[in-house]
Amino acid sequence: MEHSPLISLRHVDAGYEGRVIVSDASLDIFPDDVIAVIGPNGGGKTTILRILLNIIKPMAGSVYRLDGLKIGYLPQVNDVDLSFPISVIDVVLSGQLYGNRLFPSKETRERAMALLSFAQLEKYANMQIGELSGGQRQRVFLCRALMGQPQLLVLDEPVTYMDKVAETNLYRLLPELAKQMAIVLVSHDIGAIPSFAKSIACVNRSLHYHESNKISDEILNELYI
Amino acid sequence: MSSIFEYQFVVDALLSMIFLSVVAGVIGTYIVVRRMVFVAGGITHASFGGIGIAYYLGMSPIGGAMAFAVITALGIDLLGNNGKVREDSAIAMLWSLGMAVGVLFMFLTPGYAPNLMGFMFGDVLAVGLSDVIAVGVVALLAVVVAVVFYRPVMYIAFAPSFARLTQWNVRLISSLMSVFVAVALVLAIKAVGIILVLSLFTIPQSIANVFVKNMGRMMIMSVLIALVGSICGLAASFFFDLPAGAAITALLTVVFLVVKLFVRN
Repeated sequence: MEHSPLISLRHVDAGYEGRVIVSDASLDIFPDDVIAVIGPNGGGKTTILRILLNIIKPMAGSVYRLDGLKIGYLPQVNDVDLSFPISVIDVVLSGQLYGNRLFPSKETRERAMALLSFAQLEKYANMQIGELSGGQRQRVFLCRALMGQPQLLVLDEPVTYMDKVAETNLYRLLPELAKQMAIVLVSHDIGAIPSFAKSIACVNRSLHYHESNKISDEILNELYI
Repeated sequence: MSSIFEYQFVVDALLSMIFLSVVAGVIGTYIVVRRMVFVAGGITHASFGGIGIAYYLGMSPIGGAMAFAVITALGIDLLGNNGKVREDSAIAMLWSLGMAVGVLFMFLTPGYAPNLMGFMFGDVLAVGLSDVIAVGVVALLAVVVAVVFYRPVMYIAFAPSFARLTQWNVRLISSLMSVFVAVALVLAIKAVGIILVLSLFTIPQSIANVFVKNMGRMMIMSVLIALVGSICGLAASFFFDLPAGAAITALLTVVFLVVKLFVRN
C-alpha cells in the first residue's frame, strides 16, 4: 500500500462568489480509499467535489494534488441530449485523455470495447446513446470515466433515479474497480451507502471523516443538527 | 438541356449551390445537433445591420454582414457562458436590433434604395464568380474541419462540461465553431436570402436524422439532400421563373413531411 495521498485538502474554505459553503474541510484520499461522501442537499457535497476535480479553487486553505493525477468523473444523471447522434462507443472514446485524440488508434478502440465488455454492454457499442435504458447509459458514462485510466474515480449521485436492478448492476462493478483505483462516491441518501465503502465523509457546511462505513449516532448528529 | 450551361450565370449558380450544400450540410448538422437553430436565426438576421451600414458607407454589403454576424455569434457565445442574461432573450434583442440598424441605415443612405427583397429572399442567379470562390473555399474548410476536428467538436457539442474536464479547450473550440457558423450563414444569404437561409441548415439535417443516428453520416447525407434539393430548386427557378430559395425551402419541407409520415424511426 502506498502511503502518500492522491489528494489532500487542508483547512479548505470553498464556495462561490465570495460566499463560503463549506469551511475548514480537511481530507486525504489514498490510492486504496473508497469514501462515501454524504450529506444533505445544499450542504456542500458538490462544492467539495468541484474542489477535487479542480473546477473551482479554494477560498482559503490548501489543496495538494499528486503530480499528473488522473481523475475519472461520473457526473449526476443530468440533461444529456438523448437524441444526439452519437454512438455508445464514441461516448466511451470521448473520455480518452492522452494519445492521438483526433484519430483514436486501434488500441484505444480496443480498450473502449474492453471497458464496454466489463460493463456488459459490448453488444450495444454501435447503438445511439438514447436507445439505451437509464441504467445502461449510466454504465456507459462509467466506462467513459474509466477511459482515461484514472487513479481516482469520482461518482456524483450515481444511482439517483435508478431502479434497484440498475443500481445493483452498477454497484457490482465498483469493488473490482476499487482494487485498481481510489473511489469517491457522493450521495445525499444515507441509506444508500454501499457495503464496499471503507469510510464516510459527512459534508454539512463542514467535513467530518469517519474510518468506517457504519452510520453512527455521531454521523447522524453531524448531518442533521 | 446542355444549352442552359452556355449561360455563365447558370454555371455560377450551380457551382455556388453545390458548394453551399457542402457548407450547409456540415455546419447545419452542427447547428441542429447542438440545438442552436435559434442562435443561427439570430446571427443571420442580425447580419442585416451590417448590410445597412455597409450600404451607407459605400462598402461591400456581404463584408458588413460578415462582421455583424461574427460579432453577434461571439456575443451570444459570451452571454451563454456567463449566464447573466437569459440567452434566448439576448438572441431576440440582437436579432431585432440588427434588423433595425439595417433598415435605419438604408433609410439614411442617399440615392437609390438597395434591393431589400434580394437580401430577404436571395437571388441565386445573381451570384458572381467571387461569390462562388468564397463559398468554395469555405466548403473546403468545412470538410477539413469535419474530418480533422470531428471528435472534439462532437464531444463538446454532446457534453461540454465533461469535455472541459478532459482538457479540451472548450471555450476556444466553441467560439471558433460559432465564427464558422456565422461565416457559413452569411455566405448563404446571397443565394437563398436571410429569411430562407435556415431551411438549408436545418431541413436536410432533419431528413437525414430520420435515417442515420451518427453525426458524421448525418453530415454526409445532409450534403446530398441539400444538393438534390437545391438543384431541383435551381431548375424550378430557371425553367418556371420561380424564386429559387423559396422553391428549395418548399420542396425540402415536403420531402421532410413525407419521410416523417412514411419512414419508421
